[in-house]
Amino acid sequence: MNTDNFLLDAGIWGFVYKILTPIEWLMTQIMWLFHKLFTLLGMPEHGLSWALAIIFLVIVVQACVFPLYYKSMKGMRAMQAMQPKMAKIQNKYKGKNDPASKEAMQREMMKLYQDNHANPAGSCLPMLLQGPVFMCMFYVLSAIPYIARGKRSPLGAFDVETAQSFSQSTYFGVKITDTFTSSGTTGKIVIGIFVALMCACLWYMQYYSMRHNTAPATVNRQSAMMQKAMLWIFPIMYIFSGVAMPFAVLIYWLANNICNLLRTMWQVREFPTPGSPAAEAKVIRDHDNENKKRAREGKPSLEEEELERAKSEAEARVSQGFQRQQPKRKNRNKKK
Amino acid sequence: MTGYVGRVMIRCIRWYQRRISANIPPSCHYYPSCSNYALEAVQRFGAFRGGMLAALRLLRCRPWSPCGIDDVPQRFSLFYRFSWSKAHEEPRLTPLPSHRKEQAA
Repeated sequence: MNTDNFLLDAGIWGFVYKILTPIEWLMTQIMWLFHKLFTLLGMPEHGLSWALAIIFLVIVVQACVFPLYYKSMKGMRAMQAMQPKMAKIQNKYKGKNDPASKEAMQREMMKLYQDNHANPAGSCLPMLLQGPVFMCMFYVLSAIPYIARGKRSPLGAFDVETAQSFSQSTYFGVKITDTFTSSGTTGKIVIGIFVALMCACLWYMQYYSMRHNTAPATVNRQSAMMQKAMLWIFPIMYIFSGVAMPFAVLIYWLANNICNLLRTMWQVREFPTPGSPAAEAKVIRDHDNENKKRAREGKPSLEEEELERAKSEAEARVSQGFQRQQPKRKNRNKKK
Repeated sequence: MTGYVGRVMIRCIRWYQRRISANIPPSCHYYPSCSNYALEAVQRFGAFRGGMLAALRLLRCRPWSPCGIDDVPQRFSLFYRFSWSKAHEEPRLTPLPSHRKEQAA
């Protein structure tokens, strides 16, 4: 194993991580603060408190990313709701290829976006923003052992002493900086379990969204094959990378995967793809909730209301026949 | 009405539109797109004033900004986006006839 050179500091990646230094600095400070807090609460200085600090860092980062995520979800829903109006505009200009009507069409589309506060281009940004943040986390956790050995200059709150305290931590009987290959038998078992849990999390996340959040009408055979392959390829890739990573990174990774899984489940529940089983479930759920709300307020339920309307319509039909009544001006009789 | 600098700027923008912009997917928050806006601004108001308008527009085109129709103002003003400005215009759904004549010519 390479223990003297911190490989992430070399080459192009070194440059990228140099740019991301402010975020890394902030992360080390957050971790250090949480560690302080947990030792204040009476946890051992070297053990659980560091592991919990990692997990809470994950939670803080996820909480920071979440509003962006929520916003983009809402944007996507707004776009879906706008779809009929957009189709209308497109239909209006169908087959007209002269520049003037093209321009008019684009203007109308833009107006539609403007009125609905939707962004045609901006909704993919949160996903792009997440990447560097998680890269930073990964970088910090991988750098700590090197700082502890004095091979890399201190980073943020992690001076040599703190880094040593960090790397002495044991969790489930495994040193937090151990990798699969450098640890003993118990370590191998614990790390193995962590990697397995990580894979299971990722697998279940993909399976869950495939099962509940794909509209059957849109799936053709090829994309279904792709999805099935992805379901297995990514977890298996995790096994290889999981074996090479220090235990601290694995803790971070597992916590992150669990957060992602929970977020995906929430997303499928609240913002399902139209036409998917989850969307159907949401319609039923919304209906039930509305009925419950009406029951609480003492109003008739949706079904009762429907029945009432049908009844009055039938009555009107009996009394007035099938002829539609012409609308009448209200003050017609008064006027002479 | 464009001078030497203005013509160079227009050439640069056209080069960008043909070589770079044509090869990447559309990602505009506004209509007209920034490059078309800059082209029109420089043509109408010259290199300096048109360039300033274009620079402000580029600063406006970022994530989280609302999107919509944003034409070059009829009267030059750096503050035409504000409703208190005399140069402020409501978004137009149809292009002005004078524009089309200018572009055709």
